[in-house]
Amino acid sequence: MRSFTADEIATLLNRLGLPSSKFDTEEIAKDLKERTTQNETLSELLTSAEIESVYFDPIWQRCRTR
Amino acid sequence: MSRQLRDRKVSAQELTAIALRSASRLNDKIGAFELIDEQSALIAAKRLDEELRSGRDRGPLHGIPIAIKDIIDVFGWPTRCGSDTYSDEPATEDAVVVRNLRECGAVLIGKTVPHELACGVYSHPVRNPWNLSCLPGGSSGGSAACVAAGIVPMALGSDTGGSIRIPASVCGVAGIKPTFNRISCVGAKPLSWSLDHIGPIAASVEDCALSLQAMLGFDVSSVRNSACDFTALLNSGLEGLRMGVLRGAPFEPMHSGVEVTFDRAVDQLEIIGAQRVDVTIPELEHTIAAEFAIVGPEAAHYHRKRLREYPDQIDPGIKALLLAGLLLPSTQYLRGLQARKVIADAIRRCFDHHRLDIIVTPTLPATAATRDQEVFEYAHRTEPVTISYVRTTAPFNLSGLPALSVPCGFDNTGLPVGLQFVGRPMEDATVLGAGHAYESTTTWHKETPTVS
Repeated sequence: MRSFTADEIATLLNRLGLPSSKFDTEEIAKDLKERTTQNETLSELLTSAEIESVYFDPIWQRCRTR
Repeated sequence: MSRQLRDRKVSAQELTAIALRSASRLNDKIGAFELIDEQSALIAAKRLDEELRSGRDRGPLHGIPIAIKDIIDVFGWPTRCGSDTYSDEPATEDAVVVRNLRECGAVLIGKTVPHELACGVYSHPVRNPWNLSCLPGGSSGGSAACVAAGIVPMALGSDTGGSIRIPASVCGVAGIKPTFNRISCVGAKPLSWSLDHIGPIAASVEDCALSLQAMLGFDVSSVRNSACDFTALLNSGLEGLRMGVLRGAPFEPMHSGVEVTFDRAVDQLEIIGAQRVDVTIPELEHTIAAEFAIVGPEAAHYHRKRLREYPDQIDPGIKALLLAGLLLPSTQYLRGLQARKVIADAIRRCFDHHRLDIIVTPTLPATAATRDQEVFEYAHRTEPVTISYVRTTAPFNLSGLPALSVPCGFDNTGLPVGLQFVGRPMEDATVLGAGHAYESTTTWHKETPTVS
């Protein structure tokens, strides 16, 4: 995935109604790149299974084993 | 305490006065309390003494002083979330758990300091009672510190990536994150609604079970709550129970002091009847990526107004997480949610394949860091303190499974080590039973820090 530049970050922040002058956009761009790289590691986990939904139900087994 | 109250050896007013004195005396040293309300606590205690005298007994928590993490609403008190971006306006209603605890006779003495916006493990300015130069963990740092210091036997915490179990472990007390959605979060400020849990931090596993029972109450807004007994298996022992000892990522690397203490705890569990099976779940290696893919966007969505109006009053690290949550593509959030499902399924397969009742792990790979420490050094890796703590606790936020931390010894610097018990969904009673069986044959939970 393409990384955002500091200028693009400033534009995005302004569009979201956030005061871009109050944020270090260079630092945000660096942080976003790191987080995107981290997120991409999930591909290893997600390619092995067909995932049709993100529905989560923790009540997967109620029976006791003893 | 509860027994002494019923035997009239002590009154609720006396217990409350002792807790209040202790809270005031120790707050300069450990800074656990954001607010102490002497007047309302003593009025509540007086009323509860009168009730007991007239024959009305609300149960084990009747007249017991407790504290509430300051992200949870208590009528008449402000909810500040450890942040300057919240006002001092008092809450107009109790959170559901607080209402249930009051119904069961608990006396609320004050609110405890969390890490800012419940998003971190340092909980400044709180100090660890075992070593004042160390952090108390977080985000429920104030709650764990005040229980460890003996001020109250129980304090409420919340847990999105380990925020009950991390401070419980580093402060040498017990803490449980129950099954997801079993205890209502209504009235607590969210961090990440897909991962948030509320639970008790307490002086013993039994106190955790009794507190959870009171917290459950009857919540019409939560359809999953049903009649249940968290204390049912407290005395059932471990005979015949199948215990998975989880090895590999993300539990390694760990510090040698933790490893030695954990291995000794596992030996003890075998001695008292558990059948041991060594297991690995390779999918858990992706815990941190999945956790942060979910927490960032959800927290950013909830705090977006604060980010717009008070950008200078939010910690830079938290601000970075929130901004990333706002700006990252939605596909990354959805990948986090998908990964969560894969991780939960992988843990289920492990339980089923090995026919396990519980899984045990070290709660954390390291003990308490110093208050200004940024990284832990392992044999072949340097890792930020926050990541180190969260990697061993967050798998069970992602999977929603009940997870309990119990003290299991000390490292060579005298800092507490925690043992984590994890159960199947809705099997909170099994987890509490196993933890209690372990605790009953050890004395770690009876050790007290120098500051108490």
